[in-house]
Amino acid sequence: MRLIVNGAATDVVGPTVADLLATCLNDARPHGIAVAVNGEVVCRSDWPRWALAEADTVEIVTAVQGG
Amino acid sequence: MRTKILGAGIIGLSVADELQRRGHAVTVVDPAPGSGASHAAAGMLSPSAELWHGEETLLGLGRESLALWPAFARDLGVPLHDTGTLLVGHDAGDQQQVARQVALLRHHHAPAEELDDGSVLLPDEASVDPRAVVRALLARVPVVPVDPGGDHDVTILATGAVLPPPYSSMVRGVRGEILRLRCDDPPPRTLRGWVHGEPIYVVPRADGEVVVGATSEEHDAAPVVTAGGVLRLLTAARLVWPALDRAELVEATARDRPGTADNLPLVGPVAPGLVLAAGHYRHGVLLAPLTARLVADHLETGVVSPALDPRRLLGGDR
Amino acid sequence: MSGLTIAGRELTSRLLLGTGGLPSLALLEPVLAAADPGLVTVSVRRTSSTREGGLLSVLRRHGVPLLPNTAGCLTAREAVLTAELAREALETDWVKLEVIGDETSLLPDAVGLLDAADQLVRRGFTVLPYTTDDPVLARRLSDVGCAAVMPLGSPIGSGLGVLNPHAIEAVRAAVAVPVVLDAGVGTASDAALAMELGCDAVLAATAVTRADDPVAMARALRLAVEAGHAARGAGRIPRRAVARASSPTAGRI
Repeated sequence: MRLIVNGAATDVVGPTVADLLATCLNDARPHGIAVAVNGEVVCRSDWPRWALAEADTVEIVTAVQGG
Repeated sequence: MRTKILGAGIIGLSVADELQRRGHAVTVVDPAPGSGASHAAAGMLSPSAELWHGEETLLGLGRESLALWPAFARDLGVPLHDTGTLLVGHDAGDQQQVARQVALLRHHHAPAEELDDGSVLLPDEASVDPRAVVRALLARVPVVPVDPGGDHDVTILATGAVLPPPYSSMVRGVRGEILRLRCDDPPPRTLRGWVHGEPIYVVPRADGEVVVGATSEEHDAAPVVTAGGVLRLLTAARLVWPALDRAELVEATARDRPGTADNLPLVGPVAPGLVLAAGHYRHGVLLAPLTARLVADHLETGVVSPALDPRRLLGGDR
Repeated sequence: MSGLTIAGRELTSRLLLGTGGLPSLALLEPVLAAADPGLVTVSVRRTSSTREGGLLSVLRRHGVPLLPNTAGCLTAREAVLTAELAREALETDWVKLEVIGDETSLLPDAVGLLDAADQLVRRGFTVLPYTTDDPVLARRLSDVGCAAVMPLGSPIGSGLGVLNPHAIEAVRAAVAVPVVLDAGVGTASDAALAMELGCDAVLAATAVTRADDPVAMARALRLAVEAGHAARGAGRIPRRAVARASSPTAGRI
């Protein structure tokens, strides 16, 4: 299915957030990372179960130097 | 020695060229030679203008490599534009920043001459067109698009902003946007400085091309040119050299600089038979001839520059 | 221990440190050692890699508590989402709330800031808002439940120090929660002055990260915050228009 991940159209296979992270980050349970789908944060514990849908907008973020 | 070099940017090609010159067999692999940071780079050979506090090692390396450039350029048939760099500041804060830079340079005995209008000339800096350098190198270094396999005594990783696993986290991409213009009233020499706190440089070439750069952003999305980046660069450039207002905007490019944790390149072994020539951040063009020499020396004698030894970043909790 | 408590947690130092602008990541560890900050701020941005060996591992190794910020957010909605993402990623409900109203001056948008603060407090966050030196706004932020207020001394990155000392004193008088001077610190004397004016802590970023020697400036700010705090507690003398001799007049030869 095609999603918007971090602002870019991306084709992904696996249905869950964990699958998406495994594809994009090579890690299904990365630390220091948070995910929002369509403007709502998805808790880490829900990543393996949260099913993504066509055209979902996903943000994957981490902490960077700032402030 | 049979060597394989992954990556045909300015670093990989310079290393290959030097190894060939010393009689070694080289196989260079890259599906798109010269298409990374080397394609975007302005080609300033600027150890002084780029110097910041705490980076004295880089100054020394830069000067050493700058000394190699005239012969390197001559050998490649590429012109060297050696009219120096002019440091400029726009507002009062920018001028303070120029003064800081001059104080630092004086501390390191780098020549800096204050001119009547408050600008500062760094006479021993130069520039070159990296695309011309890459073309000249490609004319004498064969590159294949796919790794042909086979036996090699050593593999050299020169793949720029992305290193293959397990070395991927030693280099991060730092996106830069850069513009190429064509101007019939270009500045006579490279201009560098700050405009309202934003760093800017304007690099003229003999043929009328003017390179304006560059933005710098730490993030890992694919490098694309942004409207904001172009706006900021053009706004600053026009304030520094007003004639650019009438220049033709020829090209806007975005690429990733290969950054390391301590801003020093990675030149040396990481494993038996595996050598890095990577992480050159803002100085790939400047450090190309020195890197080529260091890699070739390492292969022939085993010597490694401790400051550039990639294994320095492999300690700690990695 | 510093004696500074925010939201029931005692911080080890009254100097808070921002991490933006360091010339290289390798400087972070020595700067942290020299500053010994009570909190370190980080921003939240998109990523496409796990960034092993990067910022978070350095900060975790050092053990300093993290204060994620909502830098770059222009609306309450963006700030609330960013705070939620930060809480999830960094496992802390502390947030330095920024809602910026103008991208040239980087001054806060008071309306959006108050709205976001209210929402985040209701969602269980410990909110430290970056605000102006307006005591009325500071009181409003405190009233909606912010754990501290962080008035600016001068615009972010300007290095102009405390431009309106009277306003900072007014903020101090207007709220009971801790006051953290945030933004505009240029050098040690700015930090010391902020503490003498009654601030409970100082947050500095650019003053350290873009100094010629960030490690030395980090140390200087740590000492300045201690000195200013101690001077405040020692009870200074009045400012007089005329001289008052400090040596006796009787018995001169």
